[in-house]
Amino acid sequence: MSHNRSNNAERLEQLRTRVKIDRDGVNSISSSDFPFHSSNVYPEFDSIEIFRKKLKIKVIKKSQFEMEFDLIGVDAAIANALRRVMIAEVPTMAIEKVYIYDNTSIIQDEVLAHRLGLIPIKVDPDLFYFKHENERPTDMNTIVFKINHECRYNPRAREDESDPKQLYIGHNLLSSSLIWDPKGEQAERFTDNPIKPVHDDILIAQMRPGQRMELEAHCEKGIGKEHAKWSPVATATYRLMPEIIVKEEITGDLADKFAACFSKGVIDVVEKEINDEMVKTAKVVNPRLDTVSREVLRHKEFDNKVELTRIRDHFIYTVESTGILESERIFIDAIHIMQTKCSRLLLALENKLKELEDERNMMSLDDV
Amino acid sequence: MNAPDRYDLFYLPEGAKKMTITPDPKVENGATFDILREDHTMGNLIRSKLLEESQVTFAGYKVPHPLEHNVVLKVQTTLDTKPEMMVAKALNDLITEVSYLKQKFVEELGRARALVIPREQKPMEEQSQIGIPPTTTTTITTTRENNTHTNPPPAGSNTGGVAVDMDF
Repeated sequence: MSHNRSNNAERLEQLRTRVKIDRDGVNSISSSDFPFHSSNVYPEFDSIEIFRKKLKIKVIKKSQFEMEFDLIGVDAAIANALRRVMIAEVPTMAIEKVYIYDNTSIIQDEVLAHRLGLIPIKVDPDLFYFKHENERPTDMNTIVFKINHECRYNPRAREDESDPKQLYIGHNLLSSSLIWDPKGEQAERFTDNPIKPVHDDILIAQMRPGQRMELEAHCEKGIGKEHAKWSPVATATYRLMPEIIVKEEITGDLADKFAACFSKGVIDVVEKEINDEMVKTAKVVNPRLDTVSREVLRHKEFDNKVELTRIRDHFIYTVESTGILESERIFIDAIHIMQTKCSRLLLALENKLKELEDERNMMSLDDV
Repeated sequence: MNAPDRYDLFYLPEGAKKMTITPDPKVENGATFDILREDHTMGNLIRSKLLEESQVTFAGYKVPHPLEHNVVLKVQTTLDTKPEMMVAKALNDLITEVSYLKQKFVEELGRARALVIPREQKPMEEQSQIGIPPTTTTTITTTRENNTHTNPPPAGSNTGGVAVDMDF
């Protein structure tokens, strides 16, 4: 009986903390971390204290514009909100208005404007304000770029030349042709790091001799929700940490087959002493690398020997920046934005409550 | 032509209230919160936070129409509190939790930075290779030389540090 009970508790614990991956689907997906779910006991705890105890963050990989880190012990709602905010609500600067004076290239004006918009512009968005609909552009909310470009024949090209690189001058219009035109105090504010596109070699248009392009492009501050060009991340994703539970030793040639079912580096085949004999045995060494392909569940010989799960509150985040903001900065900005969103709602709620209070007071006065 | 304005996503229309609260006509201590210009980000966050409270008997949210950027939150609580109070508590808790998360993240970032030798010092580090155990130097130098993310060493194997490809 007692054995049964502990078994039940174990199973309950697994249901609570793990997402179960079965042959034909994924089970036990939703979090059951709420009161009265598995017991009728009135929970006496401070949810913030529990959060503090459980939360763990670990940076796994970090370069200037890419990072991988583990966020352990948070609810999926928080993890997902952070991801959504990173993608859609962290502001950057991007080209929003294009004034085309001359464009005789084969790229249509509207397509050209769209292409220009997608070029990441290296500038700290915190140094600018949002430009509201009816506001006039100022040096605090707009950055001006100019393109004045013409394609010509190369007079020094050989007569039988067929390579466009030799034949023409300026036949590739690159993002390096976007010339920043400092307005107002911008020249002083950005002496140390002049504003320019993140990459100099983004191809905007291909041209032929006689074609000209002259335009003025205005950058504005915006967020990815409005248009993806303002999104500071190339991608921000998370996945749950895979877990491979080997219930029964897998030995001999089966061990090799077992290892081949997973991504490289997940399973190691080691020599292990079983019954005074050295046998090849499969050992889980690095489940993080697994793609959870479920290949292992297709083979009869591994039935009931292995269990695949994912740890429900272990999020592996990957944040890849477009090069405008540093990746850790994006995450920190996202946290700030979430805080402001919460406080804005709190303020709205308090205002509303005050209103209701006032109304009630008025009513009671009327009664008198 | 009749597409909604892009800024409709986040600009509150003039004169509109960010939040309206309607008490439920049938259920005691139930209320509907209409929140303008918010989406699943906040809706799901508040809902999940409310579900952690033992005084909340029901919490759910919906985005009624994909082209209207509003969220409807329905909350019912036990009789010893009010839905408004619980939502306020949830929001306050969220702010505290998220600031704690930020503090932890910055701490961890500092720890990770301290473990890594900045790139500028690489020649010096290579010169003084004698004092460093051979295994670590090889991993560090190979990652430095490649300087790509194509073939990172197994991340789980570095239990102590973050000596993978970092260049702060």
